[in-house]
Amino acid sequence: MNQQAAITSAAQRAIAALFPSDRISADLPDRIAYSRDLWPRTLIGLREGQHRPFEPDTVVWPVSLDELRALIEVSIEHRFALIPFGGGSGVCGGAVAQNGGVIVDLKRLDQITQLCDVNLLADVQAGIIGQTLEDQLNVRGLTLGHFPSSIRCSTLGGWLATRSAGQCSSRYGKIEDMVDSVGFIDGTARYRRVDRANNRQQLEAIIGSEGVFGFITDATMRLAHLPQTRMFLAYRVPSVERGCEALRRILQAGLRPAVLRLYDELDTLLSSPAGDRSPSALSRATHALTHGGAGKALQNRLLSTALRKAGNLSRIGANLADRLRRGCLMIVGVEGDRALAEAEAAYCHEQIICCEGDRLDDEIGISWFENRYGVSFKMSPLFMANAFVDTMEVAAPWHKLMRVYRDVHQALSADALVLAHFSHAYTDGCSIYFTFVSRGSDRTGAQALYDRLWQSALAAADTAGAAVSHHHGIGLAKAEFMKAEHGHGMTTLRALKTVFDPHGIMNPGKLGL
Amino acid sequence: MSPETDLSTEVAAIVGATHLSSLESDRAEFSGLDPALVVWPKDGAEIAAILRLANRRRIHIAVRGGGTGSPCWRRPSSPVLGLSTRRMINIVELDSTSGTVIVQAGIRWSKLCDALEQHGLWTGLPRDAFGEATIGGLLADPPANAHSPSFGPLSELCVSTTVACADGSLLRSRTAPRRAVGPDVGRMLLGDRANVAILTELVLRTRQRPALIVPALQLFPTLRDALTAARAILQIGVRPTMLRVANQAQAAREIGPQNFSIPAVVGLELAGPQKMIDRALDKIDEIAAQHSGQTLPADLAADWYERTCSEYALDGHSTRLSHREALAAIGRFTDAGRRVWLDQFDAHRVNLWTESDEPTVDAVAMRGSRDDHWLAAIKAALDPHQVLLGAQSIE
Repeated sequence: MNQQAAITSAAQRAIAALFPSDRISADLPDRIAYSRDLWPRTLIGLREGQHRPFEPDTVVWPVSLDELRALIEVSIEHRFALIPFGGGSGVCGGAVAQNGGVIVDLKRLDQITQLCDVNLLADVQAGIIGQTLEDQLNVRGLTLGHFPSSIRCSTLGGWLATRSAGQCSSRYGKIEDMVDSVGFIDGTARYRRVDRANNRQQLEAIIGSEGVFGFITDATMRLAHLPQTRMFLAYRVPSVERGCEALRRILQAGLRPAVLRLYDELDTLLSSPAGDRSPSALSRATHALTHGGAGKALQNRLLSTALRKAGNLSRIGANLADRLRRGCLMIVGVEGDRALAEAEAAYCHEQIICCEGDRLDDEIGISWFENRYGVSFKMSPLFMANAFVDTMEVAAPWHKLMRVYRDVHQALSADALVLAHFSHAYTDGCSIYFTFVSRGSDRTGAQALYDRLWQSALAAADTAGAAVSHHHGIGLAKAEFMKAEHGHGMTTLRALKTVFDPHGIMNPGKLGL
Repeated sequence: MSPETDLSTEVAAIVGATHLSSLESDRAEFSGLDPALVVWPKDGAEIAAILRLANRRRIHIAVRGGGTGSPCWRRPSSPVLGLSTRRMINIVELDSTSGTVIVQAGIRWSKLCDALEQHGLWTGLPRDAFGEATIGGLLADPPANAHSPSFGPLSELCVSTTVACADGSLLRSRTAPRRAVGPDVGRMLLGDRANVAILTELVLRTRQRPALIVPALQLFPTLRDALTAARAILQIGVRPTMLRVANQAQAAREIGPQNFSIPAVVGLELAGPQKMIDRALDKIDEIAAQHSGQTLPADLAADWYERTCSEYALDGHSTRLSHREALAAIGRFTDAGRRVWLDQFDAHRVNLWTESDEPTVDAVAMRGSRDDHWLAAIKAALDPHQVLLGAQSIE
């Protein structure tokens, strides 16, 4: 059901009968507020007055599974789309009403219903905000260990729906590693409890399904004790290649430091000195230009010139990187029992030194930790400057990683300033997180350039053998790459869709379904 | 020409005349099914072609790996073709940088371990754990002892899969350490027992074989103390590659008769850099002492380790429980005459084993159940002609 008709008045009345007036709204401000998530493509239009790119007909805030089930039954009867909505922090257009429908905001389902500190398991409702969950666990001396930069504006359900990853994934895993079972209402209004021990196949089908099969309503999550100690080390390694070699050695030796981050030369260059690690790409660029000796006026002129034509950014960045040759910054964070953490830090140090790393001030790592969530909230200046910024996270085996890095970089850099870091490492491979900054002449031009950059970058990643997403998911942004990613597996996904959502009411258009 | 002869001709055109058989001795390997023919394809492409043939002729396919399992095939009314993966035993590619190895599904576990060892690699699970089982069989129907506290369940070995789907198409999932591209279709088909697809090739993640592998053995006054200490060891962040807890009767079997009383033991295997192991051993000693435990001599630990690894195969009945449930359950097993042990630990759950299929409690009530309704719906969607006879059929 990709082409929804507008919701009929009869359907509106049926929905209204399910919710009290303070938990349903068809008011314009709400429809505007819920007409997008944080997909940067929609932000480009926003600055030129395109305020509601994907306007829903109605927004509801259910508080119980019964309400959700009733809403699904009404949806089946009246044939309108339901779009699960958590924190709205997704960057791929996964939680938008592409052709109208009802946004179902799950944030009122926000309770920890059970917590066992023997098993280290917690039953949690899906709408809880990540930081709220973490704060409540911390009071009990526990942690989920999941720290995405969106933690203050994303929900547990959103994490599970998109296979999210946090900044300590090397130690705690991705969200799919932390889940013991999920509660799920499918598109027929049937509630299922799907556990890892008995129904792993079904669990693999639901995790990452981005709402196209139904609503993740709750989950039993695996917890850990709060670490006794946490320490950071910082290094400069001569190149991305040597840095990746160090990451690989550490992981393949069986170690699991909580944080392993490697910044490429340009990202390192644009990083501010310790203690002032300003996280937005624009402010980093600004800072770097200032550090080049330019005064404020000159800095503004340089920035203005750089942003005038997209390719200039890349050339300026490349020139600076080439001139300064500062190498690559690596940050290592270990935590847990003090003795074990110290041993882990010592082994990491040995491996990084073997890869020609030079130890830097630990303060750099501490500063990163203190500012680690900043980047998601400080991109507005770039958009206000008529530019745009987006991020792309791909993953590949170690033996393909450098080719992926070079090819994607090349695909983007003709028209954008490109930075990259490596921040989710495994024994068999790693994720690369590209940040690209560019601008178009106007909204139409910017969105066309934006689309072209994504197309060429994803095509390059796919050809080089990378998965097109490591933890942001697919949504609308990458939907057309699902065929390249899954091949004949799309047949299986379509079969799952018919089983879970035979009426086609759930989040149409996402995942290419 | 009889229908069987006609089928033989068509199958021979796919796999070659020397790679199929109608001999009684070959057909008998598919116990209880009496297939018309047994076929030995060489790769996934041939399996896919056989599946297309099966769809066309409306016949059924039953898959056999190493023959170590106990498949419960449903005997259908229409003809069955027995498909054995015994020719699919090759290591296709080994990448030492990523530590990944591409193998055909019919390779036996012991052969795989031997081949990896030659390259200084290992899986983290004992060579003798699954002996002559094939990797395809193990991943299609994982045994209950397929789990390492350090590496996770056996399925964690698998990075990606190539499967022949019931409709005769080949599906190769992307090889990447982790993805966020919707449901993980490749991993979804693990544990499928060949109900909707046949595993043909797998990309497995391996580890460098650590220079140091150290066993350790701790003695405890009660099984409860031992289990509590084991949980504490994992929850503090020590990640042994093997962890077992045994009561007196099981410990006598694992350690042999001693001249002192052994009410309960915790046995571990630690692997990795020397300094990490040293710190982990210190921590284990500290935790054991907190639970009235004491470290047993290294020669006893080595003996236990050798015996346990060589007798790793299943010989009991297990139930997966949370730690709290396990603590409650073991209260029933204070009788020293009955063997009880726990393994497949993680920080949250554990397998409780007993030597017979007597109720591991309330455990039966505690555990969940397989959602056959969902599996049946998926099978109906992906295998509309019910071509594949799963090793455990879905009703």
